[in-house]
Amino acid sequence: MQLCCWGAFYGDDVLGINRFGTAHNGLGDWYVQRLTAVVVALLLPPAFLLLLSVYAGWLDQMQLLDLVDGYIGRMLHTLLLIALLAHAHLGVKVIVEDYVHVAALRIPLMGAVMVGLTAFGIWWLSVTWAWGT
Amino acid sequence: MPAIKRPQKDRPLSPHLSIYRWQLPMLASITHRASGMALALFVPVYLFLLTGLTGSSEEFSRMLDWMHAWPGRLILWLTGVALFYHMTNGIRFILLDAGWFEARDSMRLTARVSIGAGVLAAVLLGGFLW
Repeated sequence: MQLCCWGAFYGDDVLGINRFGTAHNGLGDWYVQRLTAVVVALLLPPAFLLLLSVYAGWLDQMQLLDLVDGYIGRMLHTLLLIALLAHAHLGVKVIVEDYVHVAALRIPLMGAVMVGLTAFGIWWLSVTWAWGT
Repeated sequence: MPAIKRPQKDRPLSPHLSIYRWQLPMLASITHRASGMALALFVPVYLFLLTGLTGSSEEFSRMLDWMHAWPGRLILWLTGVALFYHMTNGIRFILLDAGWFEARDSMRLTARVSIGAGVLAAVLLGGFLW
């Protein structure tokens, strides 16, 4: 097995293509992707419908806040944002792993995606728990 | 850790997509990725909207104006279509994982349903927004 330089650079040795499941998280990723998909499929359409209702003028700001500023509204929105960001992370990861073959690009790229999604999550949480107050 | 034996380094790899004739399930799959990517890119826009809509009443009306101007409309339209398609096809993928519709014909039929749902969403949402 060639371990030096080009192999390592292109990720075919170091990242485990020559080995069985070195990351040990394949099944976990697969399952979490589907679990979060179910949560997002249940919670995102209502959020999008609220957005469209505001767009159409069916809800003004007070009516919108009345609908979402209880503990249940905030809690559901928090669940949605956690599931959505986890789902987005795993989805982008699958795409990046398929198309970005250079490990020296892929690893920092996925790092940036993860840090970016976390930052959005924190901001999003703060908006969710502050609205209507 | 067991290593897989690889006698030959330069053998052809499997995903040479360009050699396959285009099929509807392939289109459904690549569109799922594209729409997922579009939805991930909508996250910052959603936060921008959410911050404004739940902020002061001036910010609320500014967001309403932003949504009604054509870039806002276009973004809402693209996102809504991507969301509806990604959800329909995502349900299809979960059903496939559960072992349903795996035969070639039903793969094609369900791919047709997903894509049809996306087109329908595009028309309906377009009618709603314009």
